[in-house]
Amino acid sequence: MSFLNGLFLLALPLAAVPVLLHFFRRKQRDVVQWGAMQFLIDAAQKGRRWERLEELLLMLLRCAAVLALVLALARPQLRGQWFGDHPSREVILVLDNSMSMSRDVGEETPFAELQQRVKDTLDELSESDSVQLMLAVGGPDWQTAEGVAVDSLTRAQLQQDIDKLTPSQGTADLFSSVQAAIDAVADDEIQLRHVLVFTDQQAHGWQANAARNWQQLKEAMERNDMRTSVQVVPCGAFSDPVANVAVVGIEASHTQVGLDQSVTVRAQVQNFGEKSSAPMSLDQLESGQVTGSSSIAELAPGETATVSWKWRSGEAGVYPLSCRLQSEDQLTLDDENTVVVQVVDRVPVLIVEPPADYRQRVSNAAFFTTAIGYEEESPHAEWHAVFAPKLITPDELEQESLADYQAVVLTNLPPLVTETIEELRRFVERGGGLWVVLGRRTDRESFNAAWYQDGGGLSPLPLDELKTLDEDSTEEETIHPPSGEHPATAQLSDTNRLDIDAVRIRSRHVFDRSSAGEELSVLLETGDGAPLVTEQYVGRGRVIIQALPFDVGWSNLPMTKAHVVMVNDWLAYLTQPAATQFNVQTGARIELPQALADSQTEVTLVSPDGKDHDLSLQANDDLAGFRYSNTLLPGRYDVKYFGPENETLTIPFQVRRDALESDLTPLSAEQETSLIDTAGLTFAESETPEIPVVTSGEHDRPVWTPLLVGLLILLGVELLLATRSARSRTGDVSLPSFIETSAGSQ
Amino acid sequence: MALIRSKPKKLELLDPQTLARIGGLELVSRTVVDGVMSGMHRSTHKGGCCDFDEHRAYSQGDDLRLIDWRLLARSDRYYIKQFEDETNLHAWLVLDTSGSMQFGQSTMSKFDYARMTAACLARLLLKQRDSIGLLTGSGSTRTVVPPRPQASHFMSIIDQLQTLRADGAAQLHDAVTDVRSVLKRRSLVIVFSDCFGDLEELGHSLQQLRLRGHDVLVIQVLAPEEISFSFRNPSIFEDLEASSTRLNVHPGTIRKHYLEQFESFMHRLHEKMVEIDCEFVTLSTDRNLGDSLAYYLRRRAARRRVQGASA
Repeated sequence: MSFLNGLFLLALPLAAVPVLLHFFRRKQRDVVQWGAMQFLIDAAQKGRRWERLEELLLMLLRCAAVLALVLALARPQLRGQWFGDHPSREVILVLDNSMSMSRDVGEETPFAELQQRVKDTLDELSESDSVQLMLAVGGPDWQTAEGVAVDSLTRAQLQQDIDKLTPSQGTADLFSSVQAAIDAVADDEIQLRHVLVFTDQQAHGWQANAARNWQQLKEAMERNDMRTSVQVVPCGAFSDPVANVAVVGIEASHTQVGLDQSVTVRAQVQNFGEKSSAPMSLDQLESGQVTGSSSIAELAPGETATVSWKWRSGEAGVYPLSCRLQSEDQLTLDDENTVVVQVVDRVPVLIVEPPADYRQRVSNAAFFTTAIGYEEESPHAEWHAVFAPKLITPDELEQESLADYQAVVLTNLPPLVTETIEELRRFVERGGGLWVVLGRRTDRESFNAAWYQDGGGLSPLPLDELKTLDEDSTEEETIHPPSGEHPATAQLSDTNRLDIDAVRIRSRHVFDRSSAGEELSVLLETGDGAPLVTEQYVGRGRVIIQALPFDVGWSNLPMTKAHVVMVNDWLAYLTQPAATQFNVQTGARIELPQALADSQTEVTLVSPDGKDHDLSLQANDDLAGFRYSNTLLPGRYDVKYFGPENETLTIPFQVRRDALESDLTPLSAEQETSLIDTAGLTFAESETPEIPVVTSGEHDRPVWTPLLVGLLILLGVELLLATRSARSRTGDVSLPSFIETSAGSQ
Repeated sequence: MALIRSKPKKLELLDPQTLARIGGLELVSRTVVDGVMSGMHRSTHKGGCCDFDEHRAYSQGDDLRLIDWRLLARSDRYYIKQFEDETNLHAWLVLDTSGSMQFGQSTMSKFDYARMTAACLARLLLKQRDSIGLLTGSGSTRTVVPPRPQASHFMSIIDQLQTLRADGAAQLHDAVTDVRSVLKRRSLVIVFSDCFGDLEELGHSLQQLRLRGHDVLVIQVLAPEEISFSFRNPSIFEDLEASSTRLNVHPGTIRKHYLEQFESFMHRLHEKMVEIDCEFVTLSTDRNLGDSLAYYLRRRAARRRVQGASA
C-alpha cells in the first residue's frame, strides 16, 4: 500500500478523539443527590444495558469515520491483487485477414504464419491479462464482445477460433481497426493496453500517407487514461519479387436482360507483378461450369487487358457469370471474379400518352412500342425486348398502380394535376424510372410550375420558349454524339454503328440553362451544346426529361437506327434501380427480390466466410423485405430458401472486391518510418512480440473512492443511531398526574 | 415572628403570604376526638372538664361567677380561680427526617417544604386553641415536643423545627410506630413525608394508629424532578440515604421506566391510604405552599360539611 498524500497520516491520532470525548463526557457528568433511588435502580437495570451498547457503538462509528476521512485524504493505493484477479493488462489482437494474406510465399502463407504467431502470443499471456480479438477487413470487426481474462479455457477456445479463420477477398482497413482498438472501452482495472497488429505489411490498407490521421491517432493514445501502445507484427516475408496477375473487374452490359437477350461481359486483367507475365488463358464460367476460354498475351508490369464475350440464356433466373485466370502467380484468390446477371421474362413498363391529334401522323407511343418490338401491346412474333408495355391515357394514370411497373414513360407531356406528379415522385423515390418526353401538348408555364418547381421538382431545368426553324431555313440543328462513359449513352456514342449524328431537328423545346448547377447531367445535347435530354436522380430512381418528342414533324430521330437502341438502352437504364441489385459494393446493403418477401418468412444467407445468417422480414418505405447490411467481406453471398416443392433454391449476390488489394507492394521504408514517427507505432523485429508489463506504480489502484463511500455510510449510520438515541433520551412521555390542581381551581 | 427576625440565618418557616392565604381557614378533625365542645370539636366528655391551674387576685371586671367562694370564706380575699382550658384536639406533627427528604434541585428541599407546612399548620391549630405536639425521628434520635395549647408553645415547635436535619436512613414507619407510645388520647396525627421506602411497613404502622381511633393525615411532599424526571444530561445519581449507592445513567434512556415505576408506586400508595382510611394529600415543592394548603383546607372543610349534612 502506498499513499499519494502521506502527510495526512499524521492526523491519524485524531481517530482517538471520539474515545477521549467518550470518557471525558462520562467524567463530566453531573452528580445529582437523589432521593427516589428505589425507582431509579429498577429503571436503570432495564435501560442501561442498551444505553451502554449504543454509546460504545456510536464511539466506534465516530472513530471509524475519522479514520476513513484521514485515510481518504492521504489517497492510498493498493496493489492489484488486493482486489482479486482482475486483469490489469489488455492485449488487443488485430488480425489482417485480407486477400493478400493468402499469397503463396513458399512453405506457408502469411496467414498461416499469422495464425501461429497469434496462438504463440496467446500462450505468452496469463490470467492477469485481458484479451480481445479483432479482424481488420473492411474495418474493425470484433470477434470478442469484451475483454476476456486469458485462462486456459479461454486460450484454448480462442486458439480454436483462430484456426478456423481464413483469408477473405477483402481489404484490411488497418487505420480504422487500430483506431477502434485504441478507443475501445476498457474496464476500470485495466492499466495498460497493447494493440498487436498482425499483418503482411502490404502497403494497401495502411493509409500510410494520411499522416494527419495517424498524428491524431497518436494524440488519442496519449490522451488515454491507461498506457497505450501499438505494435506491428509482420507475418510473411516479401523476399521474392512480386508476381501477380489479377482479374480486377468484371462487368456485364446489362444485369437484367430478357430471355435469349445477349449480354456482353467484359473482364479486366491486370499484371501487378514486377515482371511481365507469361501468356495465359481466361476461362468463362456460368454457375461454376466452364462455358468458354480466351487467351491473353503476355502482360507487361502494370499492363491491363480486357477480355469480352457474349452470353445469353433462354431461361429466366439469376446467373453468376465468372471468369478464371489460368496463371501461376503468388495470389490465387484474385484470379477469379464474378458478375451476377438476372434473366427475366418481362419487365413491365407503363406508357402514358394523350390521344393523338390531327397533326400527328404516328403517335409518340407507337415509336416506343415499335422500338421494343411491340405492336401496340402485342409482341412481334420474331423479336421483342424484355420490356412489356402498357398504354394508357393521362386520365387513366390516377387509377393505375405504379408499383407494378419498373418504368413510366410520359410522352407528349400534357399538364398533369399535382396529385399525379406527387405520386410519380414517390414512384421514382422508391427506385422507379421516369422518362418524360415533351411534345405538342406540353405547356411551358404549367411545366415550370409543376415539374421544375424552382429547382425542387423532378425536372432539373425549366423550359424556355419553343424553338422552331423555318421550313425554308438552311439552318440545321443536330445532335452531338454523346459520351461513351455514361451507361445510358455508351452504345449511342458509337457513331460508326449508329446514326445519332444524322438526326436533324426542326422544332424542339428549349431548356433554360441559366439556372442550372454544375452537376447537371445531360444525356444528349445539340451540336451547339444546348441540352436536349437531361437526367435527374430522385431518391433511388432516375428521371429523364427529353425536350425533343418522337415526332417526325419535329425531327427525324424516330426514323434513325439510333432511336431503337436509345429506347432500349434508356429503358434498361431506367428500370435498373427498381430491379434487384445482385452486384453491390463492399458495405452496401443487399436487398432480396420483393417477390421473395411475398412467399417466404425466413431465409438464410451464407456469407463468403461460410457463416449462415438467418434473415427475417424488415419493413422499410412501407414495404417489407429481406435485407442484409454486413457486407464488409467481398465475394459471393448465397441466399437459400425453400421452393414450392420444398427444394432448396439459391439466389447469388456478389459483393465486389477492391481491385487494389491485388497490388502486393509492401510498405516502403519511408512509409514505415513515417508510421513510426507520426503514429508512434513500433514494428516487432523478433518472431514473438514483446508485450509491455504493468509496472508496480501502474499496478497500484486508488482506493480513496471506496473509503469516501465508506465514510458516507458511516456518517449515515452514525446520524441514524444518534438521532434514535437522542429521540429516546428526549422523547416525550406523558406524565401521570398525582397532584390535584391547587390555586385557581376552586 | 420576632424569633425569625432574630435568627435570620435559619429557615424562615413562616411566610407571611402563606399565613395570609390560610389565615381564615380551620383545620378540623374528621373524626370525633377527645375534648370538650368549646369550639368546633365534639367532645367525648359529658358535662365539661375543668382542670384547676392557678388562683389570681380578683380585679374589677372579672366575672363574679369565677370567684372562688371557698377561698373567700377561708381567707376573706377575692381570688379568681383559673382553670386550664381543655382542648378539643391534640394534633401531633410527625416529620420524616430521612435523607431522601433533603432532595431539592430547582426548588427548596422537600424537608424545608415539609417544615414550612408543619409550621403553618401548627400556627393554624394553635390559633384554633388546639394543642400541638411534634415528633421526629425514632429510637435514639427521637425528638418529642408534647402538645400544648398555649400560644407560647408555638415558639417551642418552631425552635425544634429549625434545629431539625434530614439525614441518614431513618425510617418513617418507626417514627409513626413511636408516636403511638406518646399518644394518650385520640388525636390528629399529621405525617409529613415523601413516603418513599417500604410501603407495607408504613401502611402497617399507620393502620395501627387508625385502629386506635386516631385521625391520620399524611402529607406527601414531592419535588417536581421526582414527578417528571426531567433531567436531560447524562448524570450520576447519588443516593441521599446511602452515599455508596451511585448510578451513572443517561436519564432519557431510563425516563420511561422510571416513570412507570413511580406511577406504580403512587398508585399503590393511594390504594393503601384509601384502604386504611387515611387522609392523604400530595404537595409538590414547586407549588406555592399557601395556595396548596388553602386549597386542601377548603376541600377538607367542604367535605366535612357534606358529611355533617348527610349525618
